[in-house]
Amino acid sequence: MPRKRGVDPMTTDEELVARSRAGDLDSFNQLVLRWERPIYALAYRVIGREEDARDVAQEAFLRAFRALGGFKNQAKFSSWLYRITLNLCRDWMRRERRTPVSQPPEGVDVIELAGEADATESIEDLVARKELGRAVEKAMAGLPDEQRTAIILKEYHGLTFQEIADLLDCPLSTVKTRLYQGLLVLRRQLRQAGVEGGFRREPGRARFGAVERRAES
Amino acid sequence: MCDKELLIGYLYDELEAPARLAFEQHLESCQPCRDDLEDLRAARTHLASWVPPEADLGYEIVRTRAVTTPRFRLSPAWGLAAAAVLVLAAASAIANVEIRAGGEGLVVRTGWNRAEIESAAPATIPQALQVSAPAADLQQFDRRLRELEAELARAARVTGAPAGPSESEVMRRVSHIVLESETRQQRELATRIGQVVRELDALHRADLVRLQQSIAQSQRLTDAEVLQQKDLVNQMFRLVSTQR
Repeated sequence: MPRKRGVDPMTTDEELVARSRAGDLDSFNQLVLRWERPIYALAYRVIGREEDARDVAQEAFLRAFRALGGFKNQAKFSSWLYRITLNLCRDWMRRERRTPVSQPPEGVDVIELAGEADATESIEDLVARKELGRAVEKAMAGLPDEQRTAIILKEYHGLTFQEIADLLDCPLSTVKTRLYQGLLVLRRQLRQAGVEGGFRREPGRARFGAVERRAES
Repeated sequence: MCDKELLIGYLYDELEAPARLAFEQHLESCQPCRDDLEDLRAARTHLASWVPPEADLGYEIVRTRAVTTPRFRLSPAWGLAAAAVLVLAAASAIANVEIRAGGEGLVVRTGWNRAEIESAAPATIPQALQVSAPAADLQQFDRRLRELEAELARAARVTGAPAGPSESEVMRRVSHIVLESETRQQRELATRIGQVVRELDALHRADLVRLQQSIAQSQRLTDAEVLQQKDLVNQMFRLVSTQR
């Protein structure tokens, strides 16, 4: 397959864009390969459904490919791609008339997790982390769209405040306020859900704060 | 009221050095900001454990060739040759019929090479498929020829002279009888082919259904077992962790 062909990792996105615009399909597919995971992750975290997130990601690349002629290198390619993806997510939510749904499976499956465990993390820690992940997903789904989107772009995609402001067409101060408020609400909700503490470090080993269970009957 | 924008900038390390130093000084004297900062950091830590489910992606843009490929056109000479092949095929279709039911499914073949088919037939054609003139049909054919014979003899006796049906009339009637018999045989053959095809089809369907049923059955069994064991392990695990 041509797309598996190695490309110099030092080749910038913008160089690949230029080649793609000159008609080199392989270069565009290299961009796809580079960005498909982040774009899928963005879509998943915004809309909360795996299958729809995959569809959104695919559609985002298709649109980017078709609109490549209109991309003027004013923004980074990734920002442009993020914008396309966020627009698609917004369309999806409008169409589905819903806020993101998080449908994590009931309970954490220990056997499934055993396969993912690596040497540095005990299965117990892994279970705690997975349960925490589910709690976070649920709490995030409860946040207003603007706050959630800002947090996702900042936390999982490492965008600067300015990049987020450009992407969401809002003032810089608004981005910071959304982050501040969103994070504090999240923290409160997780505390209410029984999640305490943060990331504790013990010698030689990473441990997440345990997910406290309410007194069981 | 403290500047929350500075706090967020500090949290994400997006402050210029002077602003950062100034904020650090502020933090030392402001408990509410220190509390806020701790909560924000805790929230960030929790966020790290939210990972999207693994997805098999591998998108790729593929250019379709529908527009660029020139359309394949037959030259007149090729057209003629193709037509000839088609005519030949049509002509041979009525010649002979061979039916094979084997590993590759049902094969119905037509052709002139009767001898070859006949030599191959006994081994490959199942009993039900062997095509031959049915006994009843042969008997009927035989009977009609005898009737014709008897008629001719009667006519000779009555008139005392060979003034009965002319020779050409006899030939016509004989060939009529032969033709009738052949038509019947062809009809019979067609019916039999249809019957065999239907039977094989029904057999295949039945096999498929049986296969699906048994797969579904074993799937249900194993699924149920796996679920049971998973539940058991999960329960044990929870028990162990609550008792600590």
